[in-house]
Amino acid sequence: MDAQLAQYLMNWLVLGSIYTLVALGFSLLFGVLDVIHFSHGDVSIVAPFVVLATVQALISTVLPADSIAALVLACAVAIVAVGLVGVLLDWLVIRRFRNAPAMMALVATVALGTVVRELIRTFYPQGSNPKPFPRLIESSVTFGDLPVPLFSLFVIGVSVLMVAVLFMVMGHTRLGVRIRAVAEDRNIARLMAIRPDRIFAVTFFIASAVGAIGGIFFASYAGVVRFDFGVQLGLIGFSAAVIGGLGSMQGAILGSLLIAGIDTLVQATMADGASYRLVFSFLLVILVLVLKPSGILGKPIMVKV
Amino acid sequence: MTRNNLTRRGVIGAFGVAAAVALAPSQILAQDKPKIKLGFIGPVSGGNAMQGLGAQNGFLLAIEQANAGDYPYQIEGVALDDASDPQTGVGAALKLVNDPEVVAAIGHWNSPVALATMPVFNRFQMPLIVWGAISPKITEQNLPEVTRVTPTLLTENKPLAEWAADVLGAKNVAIVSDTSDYGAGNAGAFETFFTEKGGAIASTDLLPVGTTDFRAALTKIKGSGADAIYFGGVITEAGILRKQQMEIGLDIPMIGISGFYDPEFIALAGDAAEGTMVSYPAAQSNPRLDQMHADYTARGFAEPESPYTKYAYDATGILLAVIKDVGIDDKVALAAAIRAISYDGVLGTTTFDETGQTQVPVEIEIKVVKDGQWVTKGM
Repeated sequence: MDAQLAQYLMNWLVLGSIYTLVALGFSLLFGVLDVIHFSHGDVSIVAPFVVLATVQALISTVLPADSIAALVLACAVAIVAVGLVGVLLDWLVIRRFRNAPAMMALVATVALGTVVRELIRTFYPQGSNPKPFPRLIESSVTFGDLPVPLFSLFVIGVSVLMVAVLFMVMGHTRLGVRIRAVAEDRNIARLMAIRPDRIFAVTFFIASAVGAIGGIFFASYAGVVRFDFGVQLGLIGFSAAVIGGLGSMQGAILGSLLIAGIDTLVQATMADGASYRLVFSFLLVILVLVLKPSGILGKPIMVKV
Repeated sequence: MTRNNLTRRGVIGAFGVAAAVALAPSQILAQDKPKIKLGFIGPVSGGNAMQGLGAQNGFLLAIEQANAGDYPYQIEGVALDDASDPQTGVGAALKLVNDPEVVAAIGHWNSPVALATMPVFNRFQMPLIVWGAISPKITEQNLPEVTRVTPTLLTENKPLAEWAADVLGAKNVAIVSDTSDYGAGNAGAFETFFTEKGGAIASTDLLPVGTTDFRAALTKIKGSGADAIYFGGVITEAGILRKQQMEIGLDIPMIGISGFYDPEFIALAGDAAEGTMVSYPAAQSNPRLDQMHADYTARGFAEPESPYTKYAYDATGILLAVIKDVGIDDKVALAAAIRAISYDGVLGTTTFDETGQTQVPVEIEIKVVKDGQWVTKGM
């Protein structure tokens, strides 16, 4: 029973960590740009495909098969590439809605998500089919009689590290100050010689690169990736950000842990809970929106007149 | 750059049109037979694409062979994708019934898709032979247009449950499945047959199609002391489930029916696939089936034969046989003729019962993954 409890806790923490990496992007982008970037999940899931393609390219050219270096290198390539994809999407589409009502940007990003999905499907060989995705780390350690994959510990560790780095950057660097200044009021920031467009690009890069790590972990944790996995990942990441309070990074973490917790708890305790796992997660979203529309840690949104 | 590409494509397109125009008259001269179309719907994209593609090739093969012979019509096969999605399937069905040249169709590997398109075919009185979907509900409705050449999931689950109790020696089985008609049908059928044999069901977890994380359900199963897992869903989820099952150290057999009897399952689950067992209609051998295997290889399709190739091949053969006898004008007579047929094909002699279900007897055998391959284990 203790082993079982430990296993549930492990499942919860890993899921929560993966969701956090995606939810952070939603929160960051909303906080800085007032944009709900609905294609964020799809952009994140581009990363595992870049990893697969890069590994294949590396193995067929320079590196021997089963080389761990290929996987590590491919992940690095994917994180940077997806960060740039985020910047590119902003430059191509989202920046055109900077001064438009929020609804327009939202609809545009929903459409953008479909475009990203279908591009993967069309251009990745046999893109409609699920692709096996390797475990980043295969071995596991045993505590008592509970096998704990090192990969799970790695996911949790990297997520904690990413969160720490993000807080450090936002709170203690010149870049962080600039990002926060633009988030506060982009016009005043401009008067302080900060170029908002440059800050937007950097924010998109950070959010998409962190999301890419989430996407890679998601695929690796499932063992499989398919072009449309970004839909669910995005929806859950978005819900987590909403529960915690859009724009609040602490909120994104809290929301992710709550959603993953409900998911695990419902399946563990309710008979036939598995069929309704998402129902309960989204019920929580509704509940939070009714009781505290700005999210648990969010500040009330004031409409500027 | 863009403009260049467009121009190039335009040039290629123009060549295509020119070639078609140049070839067309000779084609018409060669064949003054009336032209008809037959429809095929199946999952040729998505997680179950290998099943759909194999069946589609069986369909095309049967048509090509008829066209090459002295069949009274020139047949064109219209193959459409349902992507395992009911909505897409209905779209494809509407396309077929609204094409006046399409006489009849065969369709579907996924039961939820078949259940969604059947009313469409029924409304337009177009005969539909189901080549792969195995939910009992499909023939229970007894629509006059619908017949099926595959056994139902009852036919596959019963021997599996009996085998699990008698041969495998399972006492306490955990059921995992998806929430679709197919998955829920499997879960119910296996539970019924297994408890009839005196077995116990440790737990039942139905997860939506598209689930990527089974760990919570698996952790519960691990704590329940189940001695086997029955999975009632299809390929992608089966692969993910098996991989995660072995990962959390739940080393008990996974069993199921033909829904994930596919090489793709092994590709997805990797080493974890070893030892997975499914029940599958035993390979009959008859000269016609051997001939079809040979023809399939000789034709050189891009995709290998799938377990459902032969069903689609015979379903098409049945359509061709009745169209030859009854003609194409009276769809109701066509549907009636299909039900009344006694057809000698690659599956044996197919006849249909009063609900349109095939009466070809099925023998089930157990397939197991060994060294990364599905091999026959026997009963």
